[in-house]
Formats: sequence, C-alpha cells, structure tokens
Amino acid sequence: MTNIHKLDIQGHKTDQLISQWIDGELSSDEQAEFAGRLAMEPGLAARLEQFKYTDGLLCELLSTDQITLNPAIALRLTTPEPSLPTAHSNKHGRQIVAIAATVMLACGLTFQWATSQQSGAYPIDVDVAQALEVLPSRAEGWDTLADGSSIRTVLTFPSAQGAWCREFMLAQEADHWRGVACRHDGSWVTQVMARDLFIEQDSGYRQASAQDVDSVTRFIDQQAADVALSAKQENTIIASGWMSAASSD
Amino acid sequence: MTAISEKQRQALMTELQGLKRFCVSLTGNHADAEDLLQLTVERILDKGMPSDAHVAKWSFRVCRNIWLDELRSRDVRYRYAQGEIAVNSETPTSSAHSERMLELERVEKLMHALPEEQRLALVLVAVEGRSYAEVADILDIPIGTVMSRVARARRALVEKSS
Repeated sequence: MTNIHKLDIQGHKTDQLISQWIDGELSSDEQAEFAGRLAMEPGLAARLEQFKYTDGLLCELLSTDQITLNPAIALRLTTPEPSLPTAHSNKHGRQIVAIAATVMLACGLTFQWATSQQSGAYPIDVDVAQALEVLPSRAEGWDTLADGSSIRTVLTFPSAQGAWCREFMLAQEADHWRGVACRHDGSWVTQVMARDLFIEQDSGYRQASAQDVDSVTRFIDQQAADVALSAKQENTIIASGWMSAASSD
Repeated sequence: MTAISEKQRQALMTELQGLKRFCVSLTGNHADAEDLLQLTVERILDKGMPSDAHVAKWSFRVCRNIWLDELRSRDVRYRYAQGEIAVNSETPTSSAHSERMLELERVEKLMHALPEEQRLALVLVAVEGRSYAEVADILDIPIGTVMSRVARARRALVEKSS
C-alpha cells in the first residue's frame, strides 16, 4: 500500500514537471535538466506528447465558440457609456452606434451572415430572433421577451439581396433601441441598431421619415426592394415559416 | 468605483473569447455559458472596476463570483458525474463523425467530468495561456495549488481517454 502511494506521488510529481515544461513554468536550470531527461527517458517523452495532444484537443474544442451578446449589452460594451439620449442628442447617439458596429466587427463578435455587405451585421439575441420569427407587426403595444425586455415588430420588407427583413423596437429598462434584422439561412441577423426614445415620447413611436435621417432609416431606404408587407401578406409569410421568396412582385 | 474607462472597455472586448471559454468551463454547457457571459459583461459595465484593475483577471473573477452566486440562488450544488464515464458506449458511430470529432467529443465529456477546480485551472493555463501566477490570482489560490491542479487535470484526461 505504501509502495503504491509512493508510486502515485512520484507519478504526480512527474506529471507536474511535464505540465510545468509545457506551460513554460520551469526555470532555465530546470528546463535544462528536464530536456536531458526527455532525451534519456522515452516514457517521459511519450507522456509529454500525450499531454500536448490532449491540450491540442482542448484548444480545438473551445476554439470555435462564437460570441452572441444580447444587443443591449453589445451596444453598451462597444460604445462609450452615454447618458440617456435626449431628442436633441439622438442623432449623435446613432452615429456612435454606427461606429460601434465597426468595432464589433474588428473584435470578432460578428460574421454570422457571411454574404452580407452590411458592416453592422451581428448575431441577434435568441429571444429577439424568436420574436421576429413569429410576431406580426403592430403599430402599438409591446410583447415581453423571456428576459423581461419589450419588443415591438414594426414592419416587414424584402431586401435587395432577396432576404426578408424586419424593423423592430426593443426596450430594456432605460435602454431603448430601434433596429433592422434580416433573415438568412433560417437565422435572424441584426443589420443595424440605433438608440431611440420611443418610450419617453408622449406621442409614442414616431415612424422614421425623410426628415428623421438615421442609420435605421438609411438602411431601409438603401436595402428595401419594395414597400412593407401588408398585415395579410405578413401573416401568410409568417405562417409559412418564412419559406416564400422575398421578391418584390 | 466608477464606470470602466475607455481603455478597460477596449480590453474587455478583446477578452470576450477567453471569457466565453471560461464560462463554458465553469458551467459545462453552452446555454448557461451564454447567459453567464451576458451577466458578467453587464455586471462589469454596471459596477465598473478599479482604475488600476487588470481587466482579464477582474473579469474572470467577476464571472466566477456570478456563477457561484447563481449556484447558491438555485440552491443547486454543481456536480459532475463521478467515476468512470462510459465514453465508448455513448459515442455515436455515424460515419459522418470523423475520428477527430470522436476524440473531441470524448475529451469534452472527460473535461466535464473533471472536478471544477481542476477544469478551471487547466482551461486558464492550457487554453488561455495564463501563467500559474495569473491563475493563482484569478482563482485566489496559491501557485502551488494551480500547478497541482493543472497536472492532475492533464493526468485525468490522458488516463481516462486511453
């Protein structure tokens, strides 16, 4: 029993030494000594290769993770913390968000829609995606998502690239956004999001117009291949699971 | 403590991939890891961090604390299966799976079967490339303990997969 215990301790010490070698945690003297042992002990060298091979598997296992941040958090992370935007500062806030989209690309937060030419495309929160998949557009009222935030799908239109796109509004406590997501290969991908003020305004949400130039409006203007779907057309396409082609005829 | 500085915010963005991997190693599944990552980033943005804080170390510690809080609030003790895992019997035999994929599946199961403290130390060192001293700081344990946990984790993975 004692011998087995000693063997186990010795084995652990050897494994610890191999680990330190792999992790660059040995002093130069220890490295030299270990290198000498490696040359003399095939068993030690084989054990080292096993450890390195398993490390490689581990790195591969965890290397393909894609980061999908909630849009609200992603925006907060990629933009300097702004004060709650006012009507006067709203346009400036949207300019910051446009810059943020570029930053997100640079940080590898995006790339889900590989064919998109929109630099602002990034993965969408799963709850928002589910809402876009099934909720009809509405002029007023809100639907509550699982995380407690509120969403209103505003309109649906076909894009010039042949994808279905939806404008939506999202509210999470004091943070409010308006955005557009497009559906490609069965997934909704955010194309543009901008901070908005639709809750505070007494008149409620104000539809973007030529006088209200912002990133969302510009996106719709540039990308829409046709006018928004009617309620009947939208119900049909939702019921079909978005299987109909997004053409303008 | 105030909101994070611009420099810290940029550093946090570059740490996201590593932070996500840390979340996976903590939670053992991607769904919980996604949630944990959101909560971690949100907590850091809400609470800020000291101006002299090391962003990576701070973020990992916040992440771990949130997970511990989550476990307490659920009143669930996070336990992975003990003992041997019937890896081979559970492995899909579809021809679509390459041998490499099978190996990855096997190592994933074995990773999740490791004690949490070993799994975290190994991921931080072997995947994130952190030094033992950094990991000791993040996990709030002595360097010698990091060294031991990393070696034990590697040993377990190699011996159980052979």
